[in-house]
Amino acid sequence: MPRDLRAAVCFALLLFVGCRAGEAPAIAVAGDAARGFVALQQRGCANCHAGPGFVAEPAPRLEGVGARLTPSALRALLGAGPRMPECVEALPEREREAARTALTHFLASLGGPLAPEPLALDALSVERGRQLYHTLGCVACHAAFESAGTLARPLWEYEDAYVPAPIAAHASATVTRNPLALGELRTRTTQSALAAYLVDPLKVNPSGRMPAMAIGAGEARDLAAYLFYEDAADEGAVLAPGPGLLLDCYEASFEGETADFDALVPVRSEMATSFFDGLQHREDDFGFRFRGLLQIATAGAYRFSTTSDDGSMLSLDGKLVVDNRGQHGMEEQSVELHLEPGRHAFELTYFEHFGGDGLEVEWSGPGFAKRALGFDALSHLEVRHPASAAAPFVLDSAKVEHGRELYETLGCANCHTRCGEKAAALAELDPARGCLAPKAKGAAPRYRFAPGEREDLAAALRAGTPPPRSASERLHAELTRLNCVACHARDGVGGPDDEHRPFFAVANGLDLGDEGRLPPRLDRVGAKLRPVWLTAVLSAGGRARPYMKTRMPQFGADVVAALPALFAEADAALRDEREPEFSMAAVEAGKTLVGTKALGCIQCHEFAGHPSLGIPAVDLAKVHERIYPGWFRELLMDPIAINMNTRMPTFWQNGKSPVALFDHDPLQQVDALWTYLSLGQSMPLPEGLVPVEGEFDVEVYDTPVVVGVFMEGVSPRTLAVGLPERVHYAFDVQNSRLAKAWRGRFFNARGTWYARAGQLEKPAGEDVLEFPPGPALAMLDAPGDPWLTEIGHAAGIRDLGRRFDEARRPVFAYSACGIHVEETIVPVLKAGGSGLVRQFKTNKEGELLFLRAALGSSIAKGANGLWTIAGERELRVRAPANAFVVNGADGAELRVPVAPAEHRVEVEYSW
Amino acid sequence: MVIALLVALQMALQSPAEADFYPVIGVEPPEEVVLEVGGIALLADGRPLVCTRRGEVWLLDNAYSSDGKNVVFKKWFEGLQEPLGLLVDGEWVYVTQRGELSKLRDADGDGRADELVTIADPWEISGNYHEYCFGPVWGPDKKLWLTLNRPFGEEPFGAAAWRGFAFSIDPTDGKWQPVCSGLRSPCGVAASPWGDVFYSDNQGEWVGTNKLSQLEPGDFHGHPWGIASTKKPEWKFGEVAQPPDKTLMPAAAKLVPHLKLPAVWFPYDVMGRSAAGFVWDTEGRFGPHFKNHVFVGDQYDASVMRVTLEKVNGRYQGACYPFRMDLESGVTRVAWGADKSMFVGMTNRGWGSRGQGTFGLQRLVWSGKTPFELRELRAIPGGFELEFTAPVDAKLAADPASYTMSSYTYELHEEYGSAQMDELPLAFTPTVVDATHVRLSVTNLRAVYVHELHYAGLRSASGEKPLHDRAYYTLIELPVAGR
Repeated sequence: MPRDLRAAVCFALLLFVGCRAGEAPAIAVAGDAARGFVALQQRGCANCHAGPGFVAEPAPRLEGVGARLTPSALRALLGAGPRMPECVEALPEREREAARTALTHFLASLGGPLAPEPLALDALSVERGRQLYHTLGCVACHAAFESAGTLARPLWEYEDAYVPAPIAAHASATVTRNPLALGELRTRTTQSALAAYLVDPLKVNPSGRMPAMAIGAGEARDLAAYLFYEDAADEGAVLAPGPGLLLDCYEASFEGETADFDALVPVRSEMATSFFDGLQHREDDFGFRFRGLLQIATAGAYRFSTTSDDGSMLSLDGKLVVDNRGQHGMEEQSVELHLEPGRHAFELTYFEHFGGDGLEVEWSGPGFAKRALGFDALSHLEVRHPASAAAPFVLDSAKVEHGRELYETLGCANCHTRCGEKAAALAELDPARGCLAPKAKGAAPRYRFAPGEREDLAAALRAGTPPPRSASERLHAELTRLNCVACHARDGVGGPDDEHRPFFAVANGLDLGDEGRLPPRLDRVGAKLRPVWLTAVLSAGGRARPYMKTRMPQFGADVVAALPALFAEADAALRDEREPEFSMAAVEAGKTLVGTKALGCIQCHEFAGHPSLGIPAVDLAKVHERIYPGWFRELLMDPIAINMNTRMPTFWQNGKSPVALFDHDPLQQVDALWTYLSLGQSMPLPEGLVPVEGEFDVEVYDTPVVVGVFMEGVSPRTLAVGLPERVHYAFDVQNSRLAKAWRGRFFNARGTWYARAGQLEKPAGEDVLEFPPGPALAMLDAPGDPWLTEIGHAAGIRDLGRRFDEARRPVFAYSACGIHVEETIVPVLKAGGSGLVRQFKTNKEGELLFLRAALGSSIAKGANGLWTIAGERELRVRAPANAFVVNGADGAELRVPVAPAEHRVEVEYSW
Repeated sequence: MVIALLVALQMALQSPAEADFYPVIGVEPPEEVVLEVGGIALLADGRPLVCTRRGEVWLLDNAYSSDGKNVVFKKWFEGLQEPLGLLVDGEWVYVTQRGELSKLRDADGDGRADELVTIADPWEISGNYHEYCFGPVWGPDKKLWLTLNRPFGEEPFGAAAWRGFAFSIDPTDGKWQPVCSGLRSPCGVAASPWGDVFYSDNQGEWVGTNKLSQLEPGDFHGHPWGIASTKKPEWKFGEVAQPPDKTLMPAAAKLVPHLKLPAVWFPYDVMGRSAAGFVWDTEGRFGPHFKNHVFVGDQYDASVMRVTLEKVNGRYQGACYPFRMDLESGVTRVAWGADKSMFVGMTNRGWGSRGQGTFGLQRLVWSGKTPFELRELRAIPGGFELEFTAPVDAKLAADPASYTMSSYTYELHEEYGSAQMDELPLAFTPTVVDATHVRLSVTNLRAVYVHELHYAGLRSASGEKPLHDRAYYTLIELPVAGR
């Protein structure tokens, strides 16, 4: 392991860009101020020295570091590195060894010391980790363990022991670009600590040097298993099949149709040679997960079955085979499939909620009839390597205390705990003194500067302020600093090189060309993507291309905060934000164009969560929220010109559209498309779309759909109403109140239509608007009185029924304190998506009957009766002129009198 | 064709005898219709309306096609919450939903209902799947009666009142009145031709086995789940106390005030496992021999059973007999069609059934042939009278070896279901009264016991085996001579 990686108090693997400091020219005389300013930031100088415009990269957090790293790793990391000074050198030489020991004890005491743990490797997990490691994007910075070509063959296909040549041979061979070796993991941490760390490295190191890879706990465990497997293989360990299956036993409330074992921690793990008999379990609410390998001798058709009470699922080679989910008695499910000879990854999950229990697994195959699946055909991966004889580390409380003092007095806390107490401002520093002096004295930290770095820093200090740079230069500096350029190209710089390109892959073997597998180029991105989407991609996990195996790393919101504005500034001249005028005619035309009888966009593009008819190109419902209209126009007019790699076809011939609309004028058609796309999730379904209807998915076509359900957070007497305008709502019949509205997908009725049902349903759409709780209407003594806390009958509200209007939309009838009310909820389409209008019709005047139209943290009045309600989401309400705001106990309320002399009131909602 | 083949197959392999007399015709819905039948009712023109557990109401055109094909399904209404009963009344169609009694109509005459009026929603629902509502039927008070299930499992919106009650509701003003308590899972409710209301209940806690009982105001039917609601002012019949656990039914009948004993017990597993909807045949549609008999669907068994009732000492009791097995799925509803066929509505979702289909609609018709059957088992002083549908072989009928008899009762207890308790074989002497009547003098008749009769040794005068060879008489009251 390279010495220079022992720098920060964290895993070596979370460093990757810092090493570049070491690549500076070996001989530097005068120093380069520009490089110096970069070094100032990376060294974290502003953690101690204030300076206008300087941001220090935060040092790793040490809370719980003892639970992440072994004492020996902690000790090794006390030495100097690219960002870290040699921390005990300020002490007299004779005290340094004791100080290192004391600091090690202190750091180990923070959540530790980390106890060694046995490796837990199963074939499937290791294989999944291997695939993840090489395709997620890890190899953009860390070395690959093998070539992309060998990945196609799963580990278990190698004969005998799992140290196949390709892996052993390439361990160092492919390390060419960014040598962040991951070796000796076993001496530095444990498998479970690494798995925990990988889920969110930013929690430990907020500098973003090791970004979060948007992985779940299960994937992190797979990655850790794989990295430890590689690590053990380096040591000559052999992973060979042993008898029995790995069994993880769980105890949890298994109420559902399926169980998510990845989200649970096993209470016990053991080797099993039985699927049920003799296995220990409590009476109810327990689960088993068996993992290992199934040996197949003869190619042919095999039938597998599970009989279980309650649910069970059997997977082979990572694919679900027998789906025996659900709460049920001893029910059998079976599936036949073809298997080739060799080892196949085997996984069986089973859970029991309450009542009877049991699990049987049977199979039949070439030459044998149905029988119990015996353990002679089953095995698991066993680690065979010389046991390490690490002596247990015992904390010495005196040393811990000594270390704690040193942590303060040596200045460790200045970077790792707080940055509050500033030393002299940067501008006041003498480049020849303090930590920059050739031989630092006193309390000054002892950095091991790279050749020339000291001179660069001195030059920067002399220059005082960074030289003015264009937005483009600053952007490139950031893209380089964060190593975005490892994956993305801009202005001809960066992007994966020939060696790394094969690792970028598309999911499910789809053919989407390079556009479908390589991270997008960043040219003109400030003219293409809206800042809100850029921010979502950079720091909220936003993804438009779920078919790419590589994931966008998350560096932390603070670390990337400057990027959207830099992109916007750098590409300002190219940006065109002009929106075409919204009209229903344009919506209709756009809908026609998207359909299969016109331009056929849905042939390739997904549509509001529905699959395309062909490849899964980006979802059309997400285009408007992501992209600027000008860029869309340019792309549509000439796709090749804007992106050399795109598979998007050019629709126009000789400047004419093949579609007759707008006299074949492409520009008007593109604007109509844009207007239609502006509806987002509430675009009416175009012609030719084949909606994905999973079992029990309820889809709305040309007439409204009404389904009676129990709904989460509403009542057990709720009507889910889906409208063709793709805005839907939940009406609480029990209390005669509109409860929720949402756009896009309607809902899945499995909870109401499957088995005994009785589950609580919820909207399928994303942007759910919650209406104020409690009664929607109330008769008050005075307009400003507190809103009623009773609901339903107790609030004077009685359901009277409903009728369908001409469009087959429900019109709800109820009585509110003796006034007969009819409420119709009508969709409106407008730019940005559909909204709703609540129309109230009353049979007599009721001066003090009010609608609580909205509730928020604050309510602001705009022009033309438009109110803006701040809260969990921003809501705009258009209400009659006599609407008013009352600040009540729940927040600001917008109230509207609903029974005026003219008996009609309309309130419009958009969100 | 498929259905015809299936029918033929059933006749050949499973129960050829039943199908000879009572063949079935499948009514095939289009692929997109999930016809999990909750209720069936005929419009004045004879077209059936069928409501489903998914909350839709379908109007069927050409429902009586002779092969079940070319039936046109039109969606008449949607958005009901698990409706489990329909009742036509002029232009209005009453329907029970989980949380309300409603009525529907097609106001504009376009062939689809467009108006729903909520008549009453006085009971609560907790969001538990088992809180079903069944009915409505016209009660003796000329109001609509319905029954409410008790919950089973979680109650996500909190415990609810009035579970396990029967209600009477005035459809003109929505005024309501709880009339009976102690119901468990009252899946069937129907009015007799003479106006009394009966219901069927399902075996479980406090219900030893499935039963058919009369509903009369003030009854307590044995399940204590909802008795807290009997403290509410709307309950006019006095607070119901917790019944004593583990009490034999004859003793419970004396101990528990207002405890209503069943008219018929359906011994578990031999007479179905989940009694459901039922209907009287007042017109002899299944043959004059079964006129005025009751036909009871069973969900698990995918069967229709037959029941005869008689009034003894002022209360109903009677016997049950196997009638027709091998229907396509779990039978929830039976209703007469306009052509004398019986619509059998089915769904087995959530419970399973002997019939392997998951839902459907079949029509059961009489072939015109009269089976050799025990037409009716009646209680008489000192024993039973057996009436057959055809003359019996007098020699065999007089031979005690042609019959076996036993009696048993059930225990009232909290545990799920009851075994047959205190079972005894019975000694008896047969006497042939005339060509179709036999009397059995039984030495040890016991009140509140099921008296089970087997007559496999019997033959008709022409040598036919009986189509079925068993019957179960629920003897609550012993008839007294001269009364």
